[in-house]
Amino acid sequence: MNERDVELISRCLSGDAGAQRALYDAHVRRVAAYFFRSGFTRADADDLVQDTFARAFRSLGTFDAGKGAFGAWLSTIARNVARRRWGRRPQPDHFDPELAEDILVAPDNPGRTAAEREELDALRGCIEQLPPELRALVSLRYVEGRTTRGVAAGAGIPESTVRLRLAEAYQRLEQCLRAKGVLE
Amino acid sequence: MTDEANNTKERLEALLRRWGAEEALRRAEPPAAGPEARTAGRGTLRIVLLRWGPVAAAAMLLMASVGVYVAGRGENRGVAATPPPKPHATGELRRLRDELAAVQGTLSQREAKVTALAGLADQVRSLQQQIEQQKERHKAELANLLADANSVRQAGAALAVKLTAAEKRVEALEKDKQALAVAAAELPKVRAELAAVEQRLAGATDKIAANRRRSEQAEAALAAARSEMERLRDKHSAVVATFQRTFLASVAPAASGLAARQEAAKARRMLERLGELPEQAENESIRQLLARLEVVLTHLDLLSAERAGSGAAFGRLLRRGGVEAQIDEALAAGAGSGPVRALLLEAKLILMGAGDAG
Repeated sequence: MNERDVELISRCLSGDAGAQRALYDAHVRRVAAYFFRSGFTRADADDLVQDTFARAFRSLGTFDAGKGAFGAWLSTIARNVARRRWGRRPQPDHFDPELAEDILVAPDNPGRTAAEREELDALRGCIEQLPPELRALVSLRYVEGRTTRGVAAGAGIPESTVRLRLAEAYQRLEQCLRAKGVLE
Repeated sequence: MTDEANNTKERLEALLRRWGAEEALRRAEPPAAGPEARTAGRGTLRIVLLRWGPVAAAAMLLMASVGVYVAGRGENRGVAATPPPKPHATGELRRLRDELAAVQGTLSQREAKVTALAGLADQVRSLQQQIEQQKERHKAELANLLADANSVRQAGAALAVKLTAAEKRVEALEKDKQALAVAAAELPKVRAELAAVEQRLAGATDKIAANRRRSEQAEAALAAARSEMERLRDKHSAVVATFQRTFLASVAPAASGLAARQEAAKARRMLERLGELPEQAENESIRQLLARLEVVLTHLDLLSAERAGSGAAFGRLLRRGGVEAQIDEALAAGAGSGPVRALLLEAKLILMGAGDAG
């Protein structure tokens, strides 16, 4: 449990607007990234972020620190907000819900071990060595969290081409990571 | 696929997902406004306030009215020791009731409007979503069509390249065919030339065989001549040796070896005769030969035959100067006058074998 979150929540409940702002700043990126990865437009995502935090602050008194972290509790609210919005229209099949969930369940950066950080740095270096067209496809898939169809629509190329190029990107990354000793 | 390959792929996928989540967090731009934006009336909250604001106002009004009404009734029952109701208070209550009814009517109308507006907004949103979906679909179809067109264009370009190559090849084959026709026309002439060359070759072969036979015959004749020459040379050497022995025996009968040669040279006055001959020499080479001969004969004259090693030293002098060979050459060429040739012949008889004599 994040002690800073607990302290901020306590201050929020006693009417401290500064604490409310600090709590918002601490978690807003994760919530916004979740909505972007769920396929919402920028305007919709902004609206949903506001909605999520409005609900969270309204029911902050019901938050029980003993049952889990504030981030997890906020994630549940964000999922409900997104689900309610999807209820009015079909969820776009251009975005991978599993990858969107990664944002909510991913540990905070300080939680990463030094070894994990080294691996991610190595991967980042390998991705930078990819040709620009392959790098763009990897970014559409893993940063924007798109499905193959979504990557095809985003890049303006057929799905079959996306599959081939992603396979080539995987092969190059695999070789690069092997050379760096990250993969065996 | 092996388990190891599967593990590698899963590990790479997990790494990419972790990297992607971090990048997404890093790139995610939160809304420009903070949490307080909701209270400024944005988005859904604005709709909520729009919908429920009038209701809240009406409720407050209603509560105030009810309070006034209850207060009036309490006065009527005489519950509290309060002054009796005044006529204007009843009128006020009626007016408040009328206002409440009016407010409730307005509220109902607004609620109906809000409901209708919400319905319309939903419809508009639904239509916008449909438009967005159609746009996405058309965009995807357009992308596919463009990709197909590009593939067809590339295939066409590749075919054009192949066609050009095929045309060039046909042109080359056509040229080869023409060259072949020309060659076929010239074939009889070439054959005739070939036959003539073959005939010349056959003639040359016969000539070579004849030349070879002649060469073999010449070699046989040469070998026979060499053999004959060897025989004649041996005979000549034997005759000359006999002649030398006879000559030395006649002029120095009591001596042998170098002593016999010394005596023969003295008896035949070789050095005195040599001193007279240069005036009769025809050319420079004879004069040089006579000079060398004088050196050799002087050396022979001064030689002590009894001293050990003196014979060997004289032999080296003769061989080094090559005087004997030069005498043979001059005699064979018939050079010089009769006295010169006579002196050269006698010198040869005296010096021949002197290099080996002890």
